[in-house]
Amino acid sequence: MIETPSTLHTQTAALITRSLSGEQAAYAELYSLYAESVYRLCYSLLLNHEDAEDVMQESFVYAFKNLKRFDAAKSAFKTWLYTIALSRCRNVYRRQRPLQMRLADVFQLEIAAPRSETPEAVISRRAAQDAVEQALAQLSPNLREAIVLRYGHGLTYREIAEVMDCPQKTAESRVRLAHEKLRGLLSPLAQGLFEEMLSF
Amino acid sequence: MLLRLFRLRFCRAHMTDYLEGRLSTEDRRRIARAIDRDPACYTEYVRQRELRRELTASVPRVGKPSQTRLDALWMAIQADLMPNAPRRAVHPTLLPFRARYGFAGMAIGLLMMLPLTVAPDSGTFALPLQPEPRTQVITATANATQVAFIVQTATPQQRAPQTAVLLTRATPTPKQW
Repeated sequence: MIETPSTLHTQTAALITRSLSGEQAAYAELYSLYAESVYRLCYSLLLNHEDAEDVMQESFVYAFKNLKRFDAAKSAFKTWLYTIALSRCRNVYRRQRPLQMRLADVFQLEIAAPRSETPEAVISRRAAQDAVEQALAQLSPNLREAIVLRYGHGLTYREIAEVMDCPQKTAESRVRLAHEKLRGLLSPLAQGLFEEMLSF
Repeated sequence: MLLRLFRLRFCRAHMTDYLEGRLSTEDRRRIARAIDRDPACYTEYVRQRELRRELTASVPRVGKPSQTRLDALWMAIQADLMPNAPRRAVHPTLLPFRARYGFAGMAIGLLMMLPLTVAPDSGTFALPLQPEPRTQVITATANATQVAFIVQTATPQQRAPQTAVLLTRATPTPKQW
């Protein structure tokens, strides 16, 4: 069955009701619905498996223990979960060292090479990927959050504003700034390669 | 030339909004015209569009977890959600020790604060101090072997001072070399 946002919303609402009535299986179903996206969010912001696991565990435990507090009229369950996870991610990267991980290891852009692709084209593609990844790594946490929520999770600007706890205009400008910064960070060579890569 | 620069600047500033469809009709038409007419604006448009496409394709792949990892995490979450799960903050077996240390610390603190509660000039001790005798040497006479002191001792409790004779052995005079 293809999950549209409305079916997901209805399914989530039903699961929350069942969970609140004490049904253990409903918690497991809720988890399986949102675990992957929450994990991806944590990992994209922290770029570290251990931290991402810790934050995700804490976030789900908090969310399940405070499920009664969730108000469907105020926000979607996904947005609520993201808000919880994001605030914990912020705590982690506030008290930790700056990101040291190479995004090249993080972005597993294992795009299957077309059969017609020449070795030179593969090298070009790899170089362009690295350039994009390195540029992304230089974004500030705020801009990275905005980009990850927008492009990694497809949130609307209103939802991004909700999760990041800022006005919608700020969320829009953060995405715009991140976009501009990424464009500026890419060297002309990388841009050339990038365009070459996208022309395949 | 200046007009071209201004147009390019306008395009750069609004391209993301243009691509996201967040511009007013008027601005949208303005950008579209610039893209059609100005090669620099067109290049800018292509770059931003491709960057956006790349981000949309690549960012969702970041940190995609395996099912094994998610299952392991679910086990950990379940353990945390158990009503009788041990609390991380204070281990129950440590509680008596902590209470004991707490009381000891409190007692030490109170003892240290005790002098602060007594005013420096208000303290009178329950037991009187032993009076200090006042001794005065009246005369001293000496012969070759002994020295005699007649001393007078008076204490506040005694009405009249007492006189006593103290005899001590004379210290031999060191030999002259």
